[in-house]
Amino acid sequence: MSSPAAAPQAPAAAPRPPRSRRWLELGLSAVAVGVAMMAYGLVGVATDGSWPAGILGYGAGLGALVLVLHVAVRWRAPWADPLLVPVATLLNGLGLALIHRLDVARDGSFAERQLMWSAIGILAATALLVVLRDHRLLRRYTFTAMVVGLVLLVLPLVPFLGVNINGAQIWIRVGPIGFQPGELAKIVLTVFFAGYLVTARDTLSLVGPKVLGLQLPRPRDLGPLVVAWLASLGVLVLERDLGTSLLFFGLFVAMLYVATQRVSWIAIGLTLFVGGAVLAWSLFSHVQARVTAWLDPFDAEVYAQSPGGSFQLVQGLFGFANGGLLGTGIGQGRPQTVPYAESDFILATLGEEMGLTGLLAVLLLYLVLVERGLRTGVAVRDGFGKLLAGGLAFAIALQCFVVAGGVLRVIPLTGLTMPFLAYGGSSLVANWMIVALLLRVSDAARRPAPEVPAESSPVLPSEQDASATQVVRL
Amino acid sequence: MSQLTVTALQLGLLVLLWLFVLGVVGVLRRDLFGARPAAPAASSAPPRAEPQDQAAPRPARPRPAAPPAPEPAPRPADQRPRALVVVEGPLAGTRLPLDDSPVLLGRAQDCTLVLGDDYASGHHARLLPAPGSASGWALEDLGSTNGTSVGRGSATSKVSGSVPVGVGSVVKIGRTTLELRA
Repeated sequence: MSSPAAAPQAPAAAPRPPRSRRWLELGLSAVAVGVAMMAYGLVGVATDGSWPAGILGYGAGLGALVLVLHVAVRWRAPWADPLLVPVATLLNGLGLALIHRLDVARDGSFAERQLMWSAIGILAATALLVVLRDHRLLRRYTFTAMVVGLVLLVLPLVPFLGVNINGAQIWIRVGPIGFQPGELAKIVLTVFFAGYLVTARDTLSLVGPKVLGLQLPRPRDLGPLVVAWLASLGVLVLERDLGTSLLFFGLFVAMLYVATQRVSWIAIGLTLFVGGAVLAWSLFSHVQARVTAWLDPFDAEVYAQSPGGSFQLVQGLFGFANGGLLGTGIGQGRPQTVPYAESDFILATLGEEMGLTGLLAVLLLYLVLVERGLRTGVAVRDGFGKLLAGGLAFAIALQCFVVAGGVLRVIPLTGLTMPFLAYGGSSLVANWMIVALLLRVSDAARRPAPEVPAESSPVLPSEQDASATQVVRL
Repeated sequence: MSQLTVTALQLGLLVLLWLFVLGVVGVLRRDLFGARPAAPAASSAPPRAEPQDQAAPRPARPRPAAPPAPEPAPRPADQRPRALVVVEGPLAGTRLPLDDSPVLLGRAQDCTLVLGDDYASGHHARLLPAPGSASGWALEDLGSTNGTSVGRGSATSKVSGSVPVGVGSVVKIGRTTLELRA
């Protein structure tokens, strides 16, 4: 195992200079904008018979925004991962086109607002990249992040500020602008988890009793996990939001595992999760309704029941079935018959109009996004960065699983949005900020030369790429 | 526009989408498997002392008994260090020649010098060529749990950030003590 790992460390034998791949990023981003433009144009082609007038403006707008981000990356994070921006751009652009398509069918105006939120999101990511020069700075704010995260979580419960929409108390409304603080809390709490676990790692991975070949932690070290469990149960009970609750607890357990490398945390976490889930199921009618709709969606009584029936889920499934392998074609299906097709059920729209082929491509892109995040976590050299990148990537993965699993009836439906694709301002801004953080960490991970005190002479084009290459062996 | 054109365009979108995906996957593939230097010349093989590797005949085997290298007494700091020697700890006697590559120290398997030391972090510290400093090398702590200290003789100090080191510098990582020799 030593020779392949050692190979990149021999500068004489490896003349290949490490590449930042910025031009690749630009090229792929251009293709991504092209795909989004084509999807947008096809809505017009299929419904009106001609290319829509706004297609060039749409392409130019999206392109300009991405270009701003690209320039910021060149300027402030020149060694960042080249795939994050194009993949996020494509998902966002495709989502815009699909939302526009639903607007055409229903005379809505979601697409304009989504475009505005995309702009805000990309500019927020740019700002974050410019302002935050080193992700390790975030570690200083570990406990500030905890307080801010908890406040953000509790904010929707504040009277006059929180709004109850569709039974879930997860919105706040200030003047005309509604926002889901839980989405931002996701990022802030990931920062907190990373900062906390990097210091508590040693305690939490101390030797404990061994039961059935599983190294268990000491009972008194269970505290943080129990606190996280109670907090996410609190979110579930008080805000009636299944998705956020599941996301936070899963995120914490996953980061605990990454930090300590002990399988027992996953076992304990899953046990607590099952306990909490059964408890919630037996106590709350809205959870029971979700489970019933999941198990017996085609039961006539469950289907007809409103609210809380399986109408939405089944309509989505009909959409997927109608789409088949290649889809009906954009603008040629009837995705508008699914309630909330633009947000929670955007995947049903995608599956109907672009078929399994399009759906798999999009799911693959999510997989790539997650892979790049995890890879960044493996390659970066500081523990905080590892946990941060791993946590953010896992948050995307878990969110995709929860949404796609819910829509495809693998698990009960919960109210989360598909990152980048679905309509939702808070979610879009938060996900672009996650991309910005991953760009920042991956810049540190892929940067070829260490920052030595004297930056006088150009550094050797050599070794540090080794860490990016070595991870292959793990 | 005829139905045929529209269908062709719809399929074209799927093709374009998949071309994008394949392009992305191509980058992943190159990242994972590609672009490795064909055959690293044996002469310039990198310094890598790995005590677990029993098969490799290397000059860096631990030689516990005799003083590892009868080097002359520490010289003025302006001389470039040529080797990193473990003087105390589980790996005592290991000698790692230094060329122009940075050396990663820690417990993780991908380190240049894998310290079998429970008090060292996975990626504990890094020794790297610093063209700006007099001795030409700098030591950087990588956010290790127990810290790194460096000094000459009895005066040691905790490393935070990056400090210049030279011949005669003694580096303490966990229970391991390393020394830079000419």
